[in-house]
Amino acid sequence: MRPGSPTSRTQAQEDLAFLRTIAEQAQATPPTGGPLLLWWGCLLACSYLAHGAILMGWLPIKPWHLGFLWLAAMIVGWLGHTLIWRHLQPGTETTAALVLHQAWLFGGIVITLIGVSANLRAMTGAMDPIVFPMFGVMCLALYSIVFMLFGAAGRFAHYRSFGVAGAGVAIALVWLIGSPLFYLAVPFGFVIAVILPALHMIRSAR
Amino acid sequence: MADIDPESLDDIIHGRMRLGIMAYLSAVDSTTFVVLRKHLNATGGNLSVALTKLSAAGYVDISRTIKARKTETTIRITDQGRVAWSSYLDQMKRLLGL
Repeated sequence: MRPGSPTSRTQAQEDLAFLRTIAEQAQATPPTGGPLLLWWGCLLACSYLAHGAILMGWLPIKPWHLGFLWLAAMIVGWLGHTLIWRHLQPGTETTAALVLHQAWLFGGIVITLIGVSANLRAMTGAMDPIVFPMFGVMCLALYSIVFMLFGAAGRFAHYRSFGVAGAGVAIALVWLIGSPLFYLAVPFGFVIAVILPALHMIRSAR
Repeated sequence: MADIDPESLDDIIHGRMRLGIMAYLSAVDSTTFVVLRKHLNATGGNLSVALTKLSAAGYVDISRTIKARKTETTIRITDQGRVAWSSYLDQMKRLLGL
């Protein structure tokens, strides 16, 4: 179907089919934020492992230094985030990916500010011991909600599965709060709810 | 089989490469030159010519930024482009009796 040349219905139908394929391919484009997700997943998993090791006396660090551990984790986290973001391969931004990236960014900032606030309270000795464990549960819950949103907006069934898995892990972890096992279970939760989806995202973006 | 009058279609959009670009951009918020070239299986020159035509008509917005010492070309459809695209699809459907 070209201007000035005879055109047929069949050709127009072929053009429409071509357009539909292109639009569907565009909508199915995976997001590019996998490396950032992987970075935060690994960092938080390692921080919780270190937290647990300190509480159990495996590391020669006093428990009241936990506030410094988390402050350091947040600073290193955002420095790494900036560095990775600067080198992130640009790609297609679908509406679903836009929702995902904005929710991550805003959620990340809110979680960081809550973490800083909790740290300040811990340093003044006015902190309820449940806050640190709940911080991990909240992070996993946030990731699962974002994955659910992204899966629904982009019609990606597997991301919805990641969301359900993350929510399940977050709920299960609440039952371990107060037990030393909690700090060993949280990194496992981050592997399931954050690191595995991140690896999937990186692989599909290639 | 009835012939279709191409004169009734938007000449700026009408063309395999430009159709592909508009179809892709209409489905996303933004993309890059590299991704678009890969998806449309196009050469850089062909894609550049098509984008220039669409940009001159105000249908797409092309912006260049420098990130990690590399020039990054971001392309997105404009509001005017969305209206033209929607109108083009309506015309196509009407011509096909859909």
